Amino acid sequence: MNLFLTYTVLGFVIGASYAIAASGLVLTYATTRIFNVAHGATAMVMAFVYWELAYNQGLSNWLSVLLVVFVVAPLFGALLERWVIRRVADAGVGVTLVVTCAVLVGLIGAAEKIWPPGVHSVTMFFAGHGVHLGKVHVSGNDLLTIGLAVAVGAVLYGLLTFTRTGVAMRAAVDDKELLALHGGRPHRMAALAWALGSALAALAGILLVSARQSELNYISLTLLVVNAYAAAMAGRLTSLPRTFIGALVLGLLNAYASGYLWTSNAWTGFREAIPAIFLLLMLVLMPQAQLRVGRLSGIAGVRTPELRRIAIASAALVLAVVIGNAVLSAVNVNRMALGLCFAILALSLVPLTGFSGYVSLAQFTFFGVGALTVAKTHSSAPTAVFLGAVLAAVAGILVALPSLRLQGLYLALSTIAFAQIMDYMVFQNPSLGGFGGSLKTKRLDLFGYRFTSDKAYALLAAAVFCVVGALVIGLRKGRYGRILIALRDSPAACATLGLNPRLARVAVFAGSAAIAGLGGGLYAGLQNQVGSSNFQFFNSLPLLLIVVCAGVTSVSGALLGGMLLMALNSYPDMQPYLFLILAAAAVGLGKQPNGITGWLFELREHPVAGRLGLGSAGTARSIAASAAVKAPVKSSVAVGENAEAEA
Amino acid sequence: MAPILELQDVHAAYGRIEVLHGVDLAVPRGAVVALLGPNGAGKSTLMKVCSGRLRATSGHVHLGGSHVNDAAPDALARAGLCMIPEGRGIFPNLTVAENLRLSGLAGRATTAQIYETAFTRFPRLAERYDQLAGSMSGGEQQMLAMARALVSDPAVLLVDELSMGLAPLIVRQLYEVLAQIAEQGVTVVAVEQFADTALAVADFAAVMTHGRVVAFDEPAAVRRDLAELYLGGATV
Repeated sequence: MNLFLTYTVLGFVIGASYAIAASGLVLTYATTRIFNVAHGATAMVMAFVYWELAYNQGLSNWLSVLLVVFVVAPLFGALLERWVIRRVADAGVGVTLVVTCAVLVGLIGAAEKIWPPGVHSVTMFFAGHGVHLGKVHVSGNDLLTIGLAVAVGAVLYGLLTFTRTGVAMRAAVDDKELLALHGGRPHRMAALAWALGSALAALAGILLVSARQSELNYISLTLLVVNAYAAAMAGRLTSLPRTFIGALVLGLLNAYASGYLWTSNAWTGFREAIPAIFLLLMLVLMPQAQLRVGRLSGIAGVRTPELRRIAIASAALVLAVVIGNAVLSAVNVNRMALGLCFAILALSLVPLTGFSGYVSLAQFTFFGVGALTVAKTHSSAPTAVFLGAVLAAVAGILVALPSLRLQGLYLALSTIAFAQIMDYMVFQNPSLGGFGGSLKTKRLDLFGYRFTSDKAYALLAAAVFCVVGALVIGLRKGRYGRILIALRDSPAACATLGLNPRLARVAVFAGSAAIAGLGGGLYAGLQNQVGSSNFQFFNSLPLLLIVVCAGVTSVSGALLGGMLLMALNSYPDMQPYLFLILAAAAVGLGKQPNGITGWLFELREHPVAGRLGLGSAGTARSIAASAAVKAPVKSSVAVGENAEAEA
Repeated sequence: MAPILELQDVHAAYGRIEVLHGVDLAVPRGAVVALLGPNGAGKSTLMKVCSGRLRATSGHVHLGGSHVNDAAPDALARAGLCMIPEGRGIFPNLTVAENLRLSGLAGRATTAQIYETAFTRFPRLAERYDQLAGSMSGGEQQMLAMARALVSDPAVLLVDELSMGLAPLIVRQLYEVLAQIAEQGVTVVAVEQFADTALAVADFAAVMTHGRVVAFDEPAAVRRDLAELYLGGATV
């Protein structure tokens, strides 16, 4: 009984801090319709600021908390809204997720720079004080956490329900323009919401680190946000009371799991995965969304190249790799091969996110499935890589099936949940076939040739990239590609045409996962040794960010994205500059949804740039194509032939 | 008397497509002006320019003697310009009561005063007090939108297509409210495609075709020439 009580109290305390974090998330989402992936990272950075003030600068604990929660964090939130969020406020879910991903990755980078790894520990509030419930001791810190959660809930509920400002904050979601016509100030509402949201993140972060008395950690606090997502999803991102109940249930589940579940490896993984499972359940159990009628949110998509252009580009890439092999140092050749493996992974996002508009944060998990297969079979046969791609496709189907009804943000969150579950329950779990540490791998053996040298491997990866890239372009040009674009633009219109959106969706997830799995298999061979830490969900955030910024609608964008991802991993010193470029590019996505490559393509078709020799047959071909469209029906065949001849 | 709302040679465009090609319009203080014209004449665009939602590319907009070309919509609202946009000017995911409370953002009325004014004029809204505004019928939603004009006590009221998609009986009711608001001394500009209802309450009528105001006169005179103005404009 005492044990039960102990775990119940623990559950309430955990739930209380989740509730504070989740209510901040709900507040920003409910008022600006932007889901803040960086909520946990904000909590992490603010906890570090608290540590800096209280333990490095020697201010009192209480003064530091007040400074962080009421000054630093709100200021940060308001500035973030002013300079970043406002610029992408009207963009689609993909863009807003990517931009907040950029903030998240940037915050982690900043924290690592400002507070280099070392001992950053904090003590409890009211240390040594507490009350006894029967035989169970409840610390002062625990009481403070619970009390603050209740206070936060009451204040927020009051604000949003009873004050005119709060009602205006909610009105801004419905119709910003109309709110302005009412005399409200939509931007001020949004800034206020973000200020409050980051203050709540800061409070939750400080409470979580002081309760554990553990060292501050860049990643674990950032990832705690998944628990907040789960709680917020219980309130469908809008209802505060339901969010609090969700947080409480999640806290109790966590506490009882740590108290009563078996302690074998398999169950430890399960316990860690509870928030993610909870999140997935909440998403799947949500009421069915209606089919969305299309709306124009930026025209994404670049013209697909002709066969000749694909051949030339492929030859150019292979030639570049050959030259690279000749001039680069051994380390850099390895990096080039790594970049090409990442490019194949990035390519997996092109049909999924670029064509179909689905945002997935599980790509590194599919990549990991491919790598795991190669590592586990410990084989050098191409069948191992192939099997990896097939198993990844199965994983893709597993992601797609439960989330068939989910759209946009909710789909993206379900992929996060899946990635977390896979990471905890499979990748980290040798008893369920996972890595458990790291595994040695062998290089590929193809028709008797062993790709032992990095140079040969780079050529192999380039060739695979070209083949898969051509297949992706072929897909886009064909009937299936048109179906994917149509489904992205207007699922409702597709349904009236008699299309089955589910089948297309499952297929595109399976195909994308297979490409990622293929890349993962090659990656495993290249690295000689792979472990679960290579494939955490966390890696998928920069991947999405980089590929979308580079240009998720084109194969060239995937190549650029893969190389950038490699640079990010291989040159830690360059990280701040890369993030700066990416942040700028992410904000620019509101204007150019095709990313950096889209911008480059546009530049090439610009009259001046074209005259400078950057132009191509593309312009002439587009004129011919438009002539074919405009020509009367009866002569269209002839004109079409002419157009081909001209091209 | 000096006009309270005055437009001089106003041009406005959506991207590269110019919609208003030099609008001149002077709305006398306290008058009810019906702004008529066929589809695509630029009436709604003109309303957008007046309420600050679309910036004029050239020309001048004066409100109460001040130059307001660059004013933000919320600043204009607080300065006493109430705009009820096309469609339903309400927040569908807020309750009726919450919608009404937001009507006080631009004025000085307290919540209690707002409820009293609105519910006296529209008892139906009192019944729907706690209901989400989006779940009401079109007529009720438009009543809620009109209630804002009633309670925020503006100097100028701009109404875009009050009758859109509503039954004639409800339209008549809404125009009665409009007349009542005008009696309080509020200047009203009402955009309508269907002339008769609007002309019945108007002091003046302006006719727009092809992005210009082509006539501004007494309702009777405009009614007489309406067919010619519409068709004459259309043959240009």
